[in-house]
Amino acid sequence: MFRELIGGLRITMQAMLRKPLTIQYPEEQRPVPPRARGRHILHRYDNGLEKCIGCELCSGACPVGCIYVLPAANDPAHPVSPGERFAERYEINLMRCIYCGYCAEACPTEAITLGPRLDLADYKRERLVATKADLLEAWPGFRPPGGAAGGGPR
Amino acid sequence: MAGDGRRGVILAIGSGINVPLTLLIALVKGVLLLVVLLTTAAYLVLAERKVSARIQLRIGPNRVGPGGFLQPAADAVKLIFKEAAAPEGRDRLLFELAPGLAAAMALFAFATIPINQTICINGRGGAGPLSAACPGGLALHWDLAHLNIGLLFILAITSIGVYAIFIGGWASNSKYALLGALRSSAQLISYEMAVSFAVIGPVLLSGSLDLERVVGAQHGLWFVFLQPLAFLLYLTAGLAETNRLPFDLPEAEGELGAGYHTEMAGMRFGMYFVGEYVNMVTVAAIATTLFLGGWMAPLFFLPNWLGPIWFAAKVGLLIFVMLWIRWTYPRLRYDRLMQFGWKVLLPLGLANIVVTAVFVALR
Amino acid sequence: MSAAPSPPPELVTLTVDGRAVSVPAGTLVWDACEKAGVFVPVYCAHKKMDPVAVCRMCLIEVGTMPKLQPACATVVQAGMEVRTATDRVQRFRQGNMEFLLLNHPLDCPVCDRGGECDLQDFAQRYGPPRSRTAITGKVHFDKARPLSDRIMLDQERCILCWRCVRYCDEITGDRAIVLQERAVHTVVDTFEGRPLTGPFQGNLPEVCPVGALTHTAYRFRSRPWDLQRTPSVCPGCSYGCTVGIDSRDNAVVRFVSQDNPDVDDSWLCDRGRYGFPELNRQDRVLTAELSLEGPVRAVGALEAVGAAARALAGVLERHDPDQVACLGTPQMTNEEAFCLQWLGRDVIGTPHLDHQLEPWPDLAPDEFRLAIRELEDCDTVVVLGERPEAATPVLTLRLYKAERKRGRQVLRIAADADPTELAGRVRDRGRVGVVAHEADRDRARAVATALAAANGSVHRLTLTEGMNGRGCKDLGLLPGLGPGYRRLDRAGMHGRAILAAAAEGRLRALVVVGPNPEMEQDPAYEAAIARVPLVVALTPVRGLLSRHAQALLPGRTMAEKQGTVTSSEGRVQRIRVALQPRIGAPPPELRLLVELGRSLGGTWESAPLATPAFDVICDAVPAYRGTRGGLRAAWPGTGGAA
Repeated sequence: MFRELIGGLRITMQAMLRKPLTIQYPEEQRPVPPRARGRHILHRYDNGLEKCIGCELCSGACPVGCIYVLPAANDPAHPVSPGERFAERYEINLMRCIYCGYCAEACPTEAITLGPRLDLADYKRERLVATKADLLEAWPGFRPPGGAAGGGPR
Repeated sequence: MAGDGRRGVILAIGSGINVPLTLLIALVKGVLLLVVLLTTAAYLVLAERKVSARIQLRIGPNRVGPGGFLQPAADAVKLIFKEAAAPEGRDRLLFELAPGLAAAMALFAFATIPINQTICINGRGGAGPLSAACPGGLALHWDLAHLNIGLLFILAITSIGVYAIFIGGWASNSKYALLGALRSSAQLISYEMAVSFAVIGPVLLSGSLDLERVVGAQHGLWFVFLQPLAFLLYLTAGLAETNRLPFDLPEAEGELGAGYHTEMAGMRFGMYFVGEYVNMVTVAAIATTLFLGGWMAPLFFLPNWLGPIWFAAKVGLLIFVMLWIRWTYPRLRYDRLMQFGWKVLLPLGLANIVVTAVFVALR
Repeated sequence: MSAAPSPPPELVTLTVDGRAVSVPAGTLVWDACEKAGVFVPVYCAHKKMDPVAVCRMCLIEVGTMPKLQPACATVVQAGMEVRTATDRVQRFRQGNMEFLLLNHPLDCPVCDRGGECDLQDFAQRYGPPRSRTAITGKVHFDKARPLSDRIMLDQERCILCWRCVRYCDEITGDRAIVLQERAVHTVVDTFEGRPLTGPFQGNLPEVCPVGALTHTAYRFRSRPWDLQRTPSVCPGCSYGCTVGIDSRDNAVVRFVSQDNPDVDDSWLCDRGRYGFPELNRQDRVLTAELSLEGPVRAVGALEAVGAAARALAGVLERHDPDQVACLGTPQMTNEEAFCLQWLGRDVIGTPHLDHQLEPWPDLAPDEFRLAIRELEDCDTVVVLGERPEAATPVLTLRLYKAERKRGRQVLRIAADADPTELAGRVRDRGRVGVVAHEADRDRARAVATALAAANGSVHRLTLTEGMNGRGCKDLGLLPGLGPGYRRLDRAGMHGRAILAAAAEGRLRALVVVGPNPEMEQDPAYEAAIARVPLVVALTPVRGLLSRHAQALLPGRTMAEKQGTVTSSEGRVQRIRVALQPRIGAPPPELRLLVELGRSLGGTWESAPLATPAFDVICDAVPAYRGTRGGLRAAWPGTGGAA
């Protein structure tokens, strides 16, 4: 019996002498794995046009129904996306999202992917409904028509 | 405690008026003891969290103050400002009384533990190990109350501590608390026997219940080497007495919520908490006094006048062992606990007494 | 009814995939398969059109015939053995799908049809697992070209099933859409590239099995899985077409037709189909507004009802009930119309009630004797003038069907034609139907009388204005006629007379349910209601009424309430709640009317809800019993000529 008791104490003593594994989270952060599924990103083409065409396949594929898309027809003079259709409103309820990535899988233009951002806590529910302006990739050279935020909610 | 500085102060007051001076000294000692014990208890919590963190390859509290140094203060502030929710149908008087009793008895038990040899001021007696007598001078005892039955006093007081736990559990009007209290009483009463039997060994060897004399009797050879079985018995039973793992059945959180203090919130809980950690210090201090030579230097070439330091170091070591044990072993099942107390510890203690008594008688 | 029961057709028994099924002789294999519960995919075949067998999707094995046969164009024969699930059939379907998808663009994500597209569904079910053609090799045509302000054409997506071409040929007869060019260059387009003009364009996207023809009004608005479909009745006219109201985010985004062979035969007119923005209007009356004393203030609806009742009671204390009148609207449900009739006649005690402007002397249910479906069975249908088809456009398609498919004679005569010389123009001496607009009912009666003298069996169908003009008449929202056309002793003023009396200052109070399009177009209306000291108005939208009412009560549009409406032919059909009222919205109009009557001391026997109210109607008008499930009311003693 004593052998076992001493053995247990030895193991804990060894652990005590080892370097702690703690990562001091807000200051130091573990690198996010390349395929981690964090908050969504809406991508643009190199010319600044949105990849999203408002087809709603992401919202159709979403198992929890957290994606709302309201499509509209592109103005040929000032297109938001290539082709006839774009997403006038694009909202994701990040509280309801389960980060399964089906939306990215369903997307025919690879417009939406799940990005590396994982720290999504907030004090206001409203701020956890991500709008298109929140999700869209920044594109410095893009001048949106009419001065609206890059194709954001109108 | 810087002995030289203190001696200067006392000398300045003068040596002629003994009674007020004794009172003053008792007051100073009491306040000091209280401050030191409470601080120790607070930092023990931090130590516990740090040790557990390191055992689990974590860092532990490190946000409040450098290295978490001010964490105890933050904990205290939190406990004080927390809403002290209390259950309906409680016994109002006893409910308020019990936590205080727990803390008070824990502090009280420390009163007769000497942390240094008695110093004779202005007397002819030397500062020798058995210099309780100080004819003509002022004997400065390094305990709060110098009793020649100090050990008995401690055993008595710690037994009262059981009431604090039982009253708290009973007054809460909660099944978890009551069950925790029941277990606690049964466990504490059972292990009280083991504790009592374990301490009889050193008492027989030294022939006194005066703790200072017990320490003095260990000059040259600590009782831990003469009474290793009694030491182990005492340490084991002491863990049980302080409700610590692997004997923390009274507050087994997996089964009973938080045991007898389930319904205690805020400072009520805080008092129990303080009591528990002060009890740890007391158990370690008694073990030090009875078995590890008290204030005596661990090695012969080290200076003996650093008595309180040696005492603190030994207590600290024992407390560390208690923490270490807590974060190593799982909790015992209740029937095993009782079986262990009555069928293992008690017979072993008895056997130890018989062997020691024969040894002493033959010596 | 009067249709002579045709002899039961001869039954033919055949087997479909081993299942025996008996169908009338002359049935197509496709229909026999459906009856046997075997699904056969089709693109070109359509229930309402003749078979052409161009899409080749329905090819199946028949008996020992060496080649596969199109199920949509093969007539059943006794003992025929049909196999639809053999390897050969499946291999052929797969090859056919590959062929159809050869030049079909990868448009599904931006195509409005995506999600409810036969091409998608069948490609999934029967198509090859992967494509053997490169995306770059596809033939391209015009994309997203407007054919009119209502319809967009995307020629690339077309699979050349000819349905739109046949629709324009067989159903509307205007031949507006034709096939052009040959072989791989074949496209559908309008004849000579003219823009589409007909009143039935909205059916084209519905017959199209893919997304080649789409609605401009529904362009990029939604996906089928976003939509909530509510079966209801089109509010556009009194024809009573059944529609599905598709809504998203609690707004109507489109009407879809629901095949009701008795009424619409699965076609809707553009006026009805594209009239849905009216239901999404933003200028709504959402709270009650009182300006009885002092400035306008918004109050709760029931509080306003109480205030209106006190004001009305005050008027009735000081004046004769004759100086109060009630005006309804043909847009009301039957329950509301009956309730307003109860409020005016029984509670207030005035004989002056109406829902329209012009008087209808000698009104009887015989004027609506002829059912819409029976038009096909009449040997001759006489249509008086252009107003019937203008009022209820889908009638045109039924007449064209009778003419083209049933070989009936459709005589369109001028409304003021001489009825006596008409008898000679009627081709057969058989059953004659006379269709007229309500404005021409006197002439219709004369024509019917003249034809009856010559031919014998003549029935009339009178088309009323408004969604529920017929129901308002059936339930007695008329001066001098009670519910069920019961003649009353006290004749009241009709609509125009009420307005005239109001304009002259002879009315002390007016209870109006709106909006009434007919009255609001009349210049006398505003002058009249502005003159009445107390106007209690119940209306869902802002307009003349909301400007001049002293007690304005919030109403609901037809998409927000439930109840029944009666079409011109007497069919009683339910409308349902398609747009959920927001939380805290005022109660339905029926409840407000009932509470108004109760506050004035009236006794309403049932709960103020649509379904119990319909039971009250059935007690008062026995003809309405047995109309549940969208049947026609059975009026007693309506045999013979009208």
